[in-house]
Amino acid sequence: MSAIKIKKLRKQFGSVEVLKDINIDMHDGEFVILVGPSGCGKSTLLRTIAGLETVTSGDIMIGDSRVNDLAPKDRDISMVFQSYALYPHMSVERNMGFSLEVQKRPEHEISTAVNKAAQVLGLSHLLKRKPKELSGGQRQRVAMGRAIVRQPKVFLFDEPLSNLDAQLRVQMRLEIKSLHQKLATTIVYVTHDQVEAMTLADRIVVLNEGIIQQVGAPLEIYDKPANLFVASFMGAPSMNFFDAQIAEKAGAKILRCTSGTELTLGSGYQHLEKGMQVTCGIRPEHCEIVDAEYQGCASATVNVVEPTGISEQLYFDFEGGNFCIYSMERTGLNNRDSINFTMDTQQIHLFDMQTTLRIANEVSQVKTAV
Amino acid sequence: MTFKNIGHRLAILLYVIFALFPLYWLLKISVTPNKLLYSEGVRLWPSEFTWRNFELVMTQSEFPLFFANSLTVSFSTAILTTLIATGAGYAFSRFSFKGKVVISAILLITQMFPLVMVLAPIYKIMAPIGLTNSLLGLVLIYTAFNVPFATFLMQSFFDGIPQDLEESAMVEGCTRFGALRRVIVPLTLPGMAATLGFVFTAAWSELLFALMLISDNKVSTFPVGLLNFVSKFAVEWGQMMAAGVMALIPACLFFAFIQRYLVQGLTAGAVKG
Repeated sequence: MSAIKIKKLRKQFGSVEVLKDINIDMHDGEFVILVGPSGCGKSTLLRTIAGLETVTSGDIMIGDSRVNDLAPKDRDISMVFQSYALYPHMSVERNMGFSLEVQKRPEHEISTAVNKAAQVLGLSHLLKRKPKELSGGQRQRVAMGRAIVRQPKVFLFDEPLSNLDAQLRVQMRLEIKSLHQKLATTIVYVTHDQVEAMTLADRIVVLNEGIIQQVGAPLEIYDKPANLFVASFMGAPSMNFFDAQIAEKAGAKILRCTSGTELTLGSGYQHLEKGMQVTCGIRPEHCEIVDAEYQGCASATVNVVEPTGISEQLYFDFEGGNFCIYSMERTGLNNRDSINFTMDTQQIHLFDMQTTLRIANEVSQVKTAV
Repeated sequence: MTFKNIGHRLAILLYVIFALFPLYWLLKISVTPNKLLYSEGVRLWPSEFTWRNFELVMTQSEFPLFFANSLTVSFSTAILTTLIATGAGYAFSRFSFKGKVVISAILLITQMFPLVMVLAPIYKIMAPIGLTNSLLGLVLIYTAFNVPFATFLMQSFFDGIPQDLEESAMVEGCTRFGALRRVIVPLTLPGMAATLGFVFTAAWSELLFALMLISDNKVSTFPVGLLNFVSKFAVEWGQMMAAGVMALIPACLFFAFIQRYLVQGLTAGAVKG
């Protein structure tokens, strides 16, 4: 059993509380990603699991045992560091076999384990080299190899890909994913890159200012962000926001933006009270450029066009904020061009202006219940 | 070779001549027969060459004993200081504890006093407990005076080694001490060699404390011993210089041995490796 349970965990550095009442259940074999902006406490959380930081209060369980007071070496974990932390004075082979060497295992057993891991990671021809003679990607693989050789209950990854270039990052991402499928060991993985989080995780834990904002499957977090922070943090380009008030028109509830623009409101939100102030969010891919004749469209002037080849991102001002449209078509638009656009109003997310919490969409709730 | 290059070489050559000339003069006088010392005037090499001074020093003086004493004191001081400084430097680099700032301030303050100021009090302390006229007393004093600087030196070496390395070792199954022994110490060897070399030379050439605490020739170190060549009526220049040349040998050997580490050590941490 290598499930991890974290109960009421708090961590203070002096008077600064960096982790506040953290509760998570990570299942055996699950790939859990801790994601959040710099300074949100995600690395600290990982380090408390590793035993490299003490906890102020609360419990950490790995399997059935409480590990709060265990030294890192007794927790049966392996960790891959952002800097790789390879021992510069040892060969790749000794680096990878280090944990077994410390346990004083027989030499043939160490070399069998190292060779096996090296084969999985394609490192067999590099075993005699020193870390400084390796490229970034190879070092990364050695660091993972060192973790694998130990056969731990839990793998911890602390931003392992952030030192690699973009192309290598994608490749290593795939390798980590297939490694997890092969080993089926619980993985806790810290990243600030939400694409990594979306692509790798079974479940994502979004953290901000030491508080868990939301825990859920990647698509659940993307489709139903629990609050404004999660909505703005997850997704690239990030969600567009504007303020509006619930109004009534011809017997149906609508959204009236501050500038007076009116938007129809999805059926799941018809229960909301008239006059309520809300923050609306809509993802860039749910907005569309249309002709001027299109009924109910809004107009704007393009500030920036970002072509990526596969798509185009258009930025403009709308309702006093920066707005983005993600278009899969090449629009041929230039800066300062006028556009008309519309939003898929069924895809609008509503957030309470005071609490910043998501306002439940009754229709989708029913769907979930079914 | 361009003109600029020639200029560079010339400048370096001039500097090397300037720096090495006193050593050359030491050697020259040590092989000059006494009778020629004052009669030949300033000559770059004596007209007659002799090993007599070396012979006299080795056979007629107590220099071999001073030499052995100096080796004992310097090696003991260097090893003891490096061990203490390694432990202290590691603690300063890695742990946060109460009074850390105060302790490092105190260490720094000890470096600000002129040694002459503390000579008398130290003699007062050492005499009643029998540590004057003893090599142990010298080792203790030298160690005490060298530990602060050596600690700062070692701390900077430890600071240059990423904390991730020992944390990784700790996760992989080492205790903190195990991680220090298996991963950090091998990486700090250049730093330890630099510290060892620095303290060794400092102890090797120290005169003030040795002169004050030692009056018995049996436990004299060689800097004190050199003064024996100065008598009431004459100075034995030739023998004194011969002894000086011999005193250079261990220091040179020692540096030749650690030179590789020293250069590595002094530049380590300056750039990201």
